[in-house]
Amino acid sequence: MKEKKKKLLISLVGSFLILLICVFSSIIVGPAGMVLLPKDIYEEAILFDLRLPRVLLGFAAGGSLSLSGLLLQGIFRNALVEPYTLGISGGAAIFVAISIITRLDEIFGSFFLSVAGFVGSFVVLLIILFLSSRKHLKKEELLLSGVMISFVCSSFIMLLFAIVRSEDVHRIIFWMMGTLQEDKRGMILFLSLVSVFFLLMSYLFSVDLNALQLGEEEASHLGVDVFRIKRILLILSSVLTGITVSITGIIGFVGLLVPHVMRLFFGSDHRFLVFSSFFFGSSFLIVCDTISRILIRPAELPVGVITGIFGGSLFLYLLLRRKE
Amino acid sequence: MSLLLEVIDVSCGYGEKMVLKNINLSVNEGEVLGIIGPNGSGKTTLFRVITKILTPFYGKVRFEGKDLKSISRKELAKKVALVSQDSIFDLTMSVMDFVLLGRIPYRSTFKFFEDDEDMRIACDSLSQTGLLQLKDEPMSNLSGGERQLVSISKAIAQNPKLLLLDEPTSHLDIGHQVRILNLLRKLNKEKKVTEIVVFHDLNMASEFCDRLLLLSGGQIVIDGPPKQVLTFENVETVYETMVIVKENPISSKPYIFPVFEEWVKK
Repeated sequence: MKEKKKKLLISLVGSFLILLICVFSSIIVGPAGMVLLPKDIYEEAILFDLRLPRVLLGFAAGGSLSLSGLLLQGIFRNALVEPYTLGISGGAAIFVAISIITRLDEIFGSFFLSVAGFVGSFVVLLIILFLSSRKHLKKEELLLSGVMISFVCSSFIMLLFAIVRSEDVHRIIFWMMGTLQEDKRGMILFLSLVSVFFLLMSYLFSVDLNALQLGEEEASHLGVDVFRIKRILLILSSVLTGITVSITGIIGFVGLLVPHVMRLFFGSDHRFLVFSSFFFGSSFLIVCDTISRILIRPAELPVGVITGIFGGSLFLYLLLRRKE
Repeated sequence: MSLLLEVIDVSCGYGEKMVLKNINLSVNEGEVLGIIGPNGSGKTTLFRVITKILTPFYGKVRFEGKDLKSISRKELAKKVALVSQDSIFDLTMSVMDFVLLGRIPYRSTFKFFEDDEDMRIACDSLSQTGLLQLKDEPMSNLSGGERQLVSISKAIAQNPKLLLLDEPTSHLDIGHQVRILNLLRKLNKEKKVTEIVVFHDLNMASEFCDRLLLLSGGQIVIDGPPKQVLTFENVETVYETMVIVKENPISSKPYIFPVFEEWVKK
């Protein structure tokens, strides 16, 4: 028991320290060079108006996506599930694409894109919830339904691409690639608060998630209300993904990769995985974002490209390096 | 002896398909009941009803005199434990951690880690199955028989009044089979755990239980002591195969020998 509390402390403090290091280094490093202590208003603005909000959004978005991935992989007991598997991002993308095409975002301001994205993901969430309320639907079938929703969404977007002007296509693609560039402080703050709140909530279910790994019937035999827990966690992770996607666009790979990396370090016990996945996801996205900003400066790479290339190779390396 | 479990007039199934029909069964505290019957006769479904995984279409189940519907899942998990046939093992887990999962029903919402009491009970149940020295091993290092014993340890850690076991000895060698049945005997005698065990092996069932329930096509064919249940007429009708029944010279319980086609011709 003492060992476990020690392990929890290590997983917490360890991942939090990594996060602090990443936050700190990402704030002082950027396309405008190193800024350690601001010497003038100009540098102060770079630190507090440009870099700090971006790091904060990286913290919230990276943490949310990783947590969401961890929860979904836990519910479905499937290593390949990620936050976008159920089609949450597809729904958001359709609504955003339509708003871009109809120029609604120019009438109501760029804030409207986030609203549209959230409405889109909410519609998909409702469909998923409706499906999951049918008790006879197996979890594989629910998962498959989500994959189908994703396919329908992406085909619909292809259809839009085929019929709209190319500059709109360009804007849609840019939204879909995802970015941590966001100038509305309120939204960043909102996502940060929501994600931390959901993180604490999720921890309450960490033991239930451990039981679920034995299979749903077995978990019921241990007194876990599987149906209820699954729905709660499904809602938690989908809302989290929906809000994140509507603010940042579809940043890929974080939600798939981070939980697996954490499992390599801490095993399959969710009591150690929930916090560490969140913090490590934050760190990972913050670092990737910094790399994407300085690699080809003054231009910027889409952060999803970095998460994929950097994260994928990192994971393969960790997997191969692991001792038998 | 008081009544622990009553299954009253239960009919149940999946979707439109009726698997159990009009099942009536009562089990007293401290009893050991064996359930036998061909594949698809409803043995596992009966367990699903008792553990509240399936709600019966008709009839009801009572545990300690209370309707199962009014007992929360968590309360039930403190009293009924099941060792299932196809447990999923996380092979990276340590044996101790796996057994500690059996303490989940006793946890409160804000208690995330096991306390000394949980550890003591988990150690105790591991020592009952004789696996205490393996407690820090990962599950991947265990043999099939040892994994089954760990599953039973997890169930014991739930501190159940009623222990359900779904074919606990299948796929195991005779040494492990006997070891597990001895353990179940000991639990029944010393800890007064009531046991309901599904068997495929009729002879194991006969030796182990004082009362057998023969299921066929979702209905109870006969419920009684092995001598009454395991007659060649019963076995031949239900299993549609020829058998010879003799008495075990030591336990004087019935013993079934299969009869193969070529012998019939001779």
